[in-house]
Amino acid sequence: MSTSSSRSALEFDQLTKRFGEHVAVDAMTFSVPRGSIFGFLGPNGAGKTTTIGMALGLIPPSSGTARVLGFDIRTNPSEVLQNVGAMVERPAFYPYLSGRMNLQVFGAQAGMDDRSRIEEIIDLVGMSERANAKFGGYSTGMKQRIGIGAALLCDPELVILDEPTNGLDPAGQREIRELVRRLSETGHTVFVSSHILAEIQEVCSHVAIINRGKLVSTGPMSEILAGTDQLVIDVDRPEDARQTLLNIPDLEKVVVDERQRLIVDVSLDRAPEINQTLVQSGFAVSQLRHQEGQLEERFLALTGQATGSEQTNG
Amino acid sequence: MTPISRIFIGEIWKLLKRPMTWTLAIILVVLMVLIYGTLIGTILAPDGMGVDVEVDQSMGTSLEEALILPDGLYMGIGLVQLMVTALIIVLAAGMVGSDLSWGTIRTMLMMGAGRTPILIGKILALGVLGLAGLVIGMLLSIIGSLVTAVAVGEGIQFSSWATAGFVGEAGVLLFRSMIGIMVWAAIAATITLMSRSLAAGLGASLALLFLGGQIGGLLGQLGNIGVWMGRALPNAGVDALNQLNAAIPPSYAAGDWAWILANIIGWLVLLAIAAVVTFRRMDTLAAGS
Repeated sequence: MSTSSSRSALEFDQLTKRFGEHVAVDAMTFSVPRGSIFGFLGPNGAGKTTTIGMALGLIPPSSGTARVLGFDIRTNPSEVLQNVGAMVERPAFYPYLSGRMNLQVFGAQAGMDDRSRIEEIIDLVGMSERANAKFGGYSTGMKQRIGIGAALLCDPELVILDEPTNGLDPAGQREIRELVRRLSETGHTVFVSSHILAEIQEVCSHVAIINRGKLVSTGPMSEILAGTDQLVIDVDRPEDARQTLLNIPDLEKVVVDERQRLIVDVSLDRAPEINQTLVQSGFAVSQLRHQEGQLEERFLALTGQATGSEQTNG
Repeated sequence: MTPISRIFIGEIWKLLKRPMTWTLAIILVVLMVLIYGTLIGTILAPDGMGVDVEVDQSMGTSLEEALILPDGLYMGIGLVQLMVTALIIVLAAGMVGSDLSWGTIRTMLMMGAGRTPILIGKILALGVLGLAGLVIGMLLSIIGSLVTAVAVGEGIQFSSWATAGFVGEAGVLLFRSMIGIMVWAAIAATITLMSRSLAAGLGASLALLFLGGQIGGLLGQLGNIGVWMGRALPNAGVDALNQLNAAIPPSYAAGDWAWILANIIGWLVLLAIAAVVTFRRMDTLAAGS
């Protein structure tokens, strides 16, 4: 079955899941552009895995639709899933079989009998040395690698990875980030759910943020981060300097951090104006540098999880 | 290759690689050796200790006659059928229960295997393994019968059993036993699937296997209604069919065949519907958590 020419790899339309009175996913509507690396973010219990489960046909939705590669997952699940590779929650394989045998048996049941592809995948996920050991004896990171390997086995058009770097050491995490980039470069769409925000910011081109089952924000990463740039200023008498800057119109937020630096939420193009104001007011500015917007800040602000004292202009 | 055949082959392969399968096979062999060893020992016991048991009082069949071929075939299949049924129940509940608890059912689904092909592939694989168990058990019982014949000094009289008729009869016994095995595999798998619990599937199925007959008998004491209630139990049709595997089988009238077939087919259809509906509606993420 060939996949549809739809521009979106995934489309959620009013997708809802209720467990009794509890609404786990509430009218979720967004789409994942083909060829993108799409980050799916949300606090624990926000409904990320439930949403992914519905996209893969593992959980029947209460209402709404999930279209995968242009097709409704509920009407043609087997055929659609042949073009989707996924790892959801923890990797689940037979503990009494080796990693290699697990890939062989799941591959064969999915109609993929190419032994050389299995060896290629084992090599790709860095499991060559331990592929013959029993899966039940693997560390969390090794299990994760086999899970990612299984997701990639049939060379799917859409790859869905739920917390792919769980249990991996920093080197392993970097390998996975590089793998995700390579997959994107070779035309795959990668949908990644992760709670490691820096990781998402580093690799993803698009992002969706959900909270308590509802979509909070979605779009290209650049748009999500827009307006979150900061200037970090080392200046003498920072508290006085802050009061001075608060007189500048349109400055949204000026904060003195714990290291006695001024943090100003403003884009880089306003740096000269701010520097000039401080210098003309008699402050000694020893350093002024631009700090790119941080997804973490944006995420915390959007999900209402920001903590600590913040002082805003006006 | 069709999706069902791919899953069927994969399930057979997984069952053969699974330690539980071989443990159950060893249990089958050990039990057969123990049972036949004890029976032969009973026959050969010194005067005064040996018990020349009348296996069938009305026909005057002794234990020795019941063990030696050709009659030994019927005693053998009776033993094997019960043991293999119990082992298949363990295997069926273990197969479905483990796939749910390990989350491997989720991995199968994510890799494009359909829910109905998964169910059909698993039941067919259990059927093949059940048949293998029956054949192995039957061969062991035949060996036991031959050893008995040699031990009691009768010798192996090929002419009395190595005939086309004997092989045909063995085939019919196997076929009837297989129907029972498939029904019990379906019962164990469906209860496990519906309850999402290996323990529940195993416990309920084994209880029905060992106590179903007694429950039917007790219901029979209630009169006509009780008899029909007993005939509606899932084990009733299979039990009635298994009675035909005895050396002196009962003779069923058309009415008996009607309720036996209705019971077996009805329960198989009901179990299949329950399994498919449950599996299609199942939240397989929660099942694997």
